Amino acid sequence: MAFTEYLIKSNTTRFDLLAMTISTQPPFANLPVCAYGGLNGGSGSEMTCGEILEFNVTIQIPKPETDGKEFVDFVNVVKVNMTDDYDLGYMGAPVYIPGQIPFDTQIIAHPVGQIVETLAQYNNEEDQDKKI
Amino acid sequence: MQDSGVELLLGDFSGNEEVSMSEKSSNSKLQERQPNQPILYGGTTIGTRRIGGTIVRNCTLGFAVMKKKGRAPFNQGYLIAGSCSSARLSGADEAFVKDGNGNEVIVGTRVRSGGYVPDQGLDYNVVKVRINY
Repeated sequence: MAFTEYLIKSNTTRFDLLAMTISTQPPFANLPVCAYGGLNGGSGSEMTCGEILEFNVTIQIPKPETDGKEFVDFVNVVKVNMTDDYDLGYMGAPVYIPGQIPFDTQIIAHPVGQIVETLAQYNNEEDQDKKI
Repeated sequence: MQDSGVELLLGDFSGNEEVSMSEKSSNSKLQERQPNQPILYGGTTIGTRRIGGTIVRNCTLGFAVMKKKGRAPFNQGYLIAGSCSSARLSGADEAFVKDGNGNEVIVGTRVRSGGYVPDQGLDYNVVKVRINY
C-alpha cells in the first residue's frame, strides 16, 4: 500500500490520519526486512537489515542431540540476504518489515517472523555468505 | 503455536504486572526499577545455559508471549529460537542478561512450551521471565 491520506470528519473535529507506508500485501522477494538484536550477547543490541531472497525454502540443519552428525530438513523458511553485518547472537531475533511515517524520519516496524538459522556468519571475510 | 498454548503479546510488558485502570491504588503495586537493572524487550540479547552447566548460548529475545491455559501457565515470556536451548524439549535452562556492571542477572528460565516440528518450519522455545524481575 503506497502512501494514502485519510480524512475523518465529525461534527466538532476533523482528523487527518496518515496511513503507514507498510505494504498490506504478503511479503515478496526484494522486500527490505530488519532484525534487532545480536552483538553476541553483549550489552547492546543493534538493527541489521537486508532483503528477502526466497520463500518456502527447505534447508538442512543439524538434528538436535546428534552432535551435528545428522541433519534434518527444515521447511518453509524465508531466506534473507543481509546487507549489514550480523552475528550468531541474532538467533531468535524478531524480524520486521520497516516502514516510515509520512513526513517523518521515524521508522516503524511490522513484525513478521523470527530468525531460526544463520549461515556462515562467523567471520568477517569479504566473501562471507550473508544469508539468513 | 496454538498447540503449545502460547499466545503472542502486543507491545512490551517487562517490569510490572498489568494494572487495571479502575484500580485507584495502583501506585502501591508498582516498584521502582533498580539502578542498572536490565530492561527486557524483543531484541534484548540474552545468554542461556543448562542449569548447573557452563556452555553458554548467546541469542536474542523474540516476541513477547504469555500462556493463559494448560500446564504451567505464565504471564510474561519471550520466544527464543529452538537452538538457543541446551535441548529442544527436555531439561531446563536459565536465561541471563548482563547489567551495567557486566554482572550476570538471571531473568528467567526456558520452559517446555516450545515447538520443534521441522517439517512445518517450527523450531522455537520460550523463556519465562521471573515474576520478581
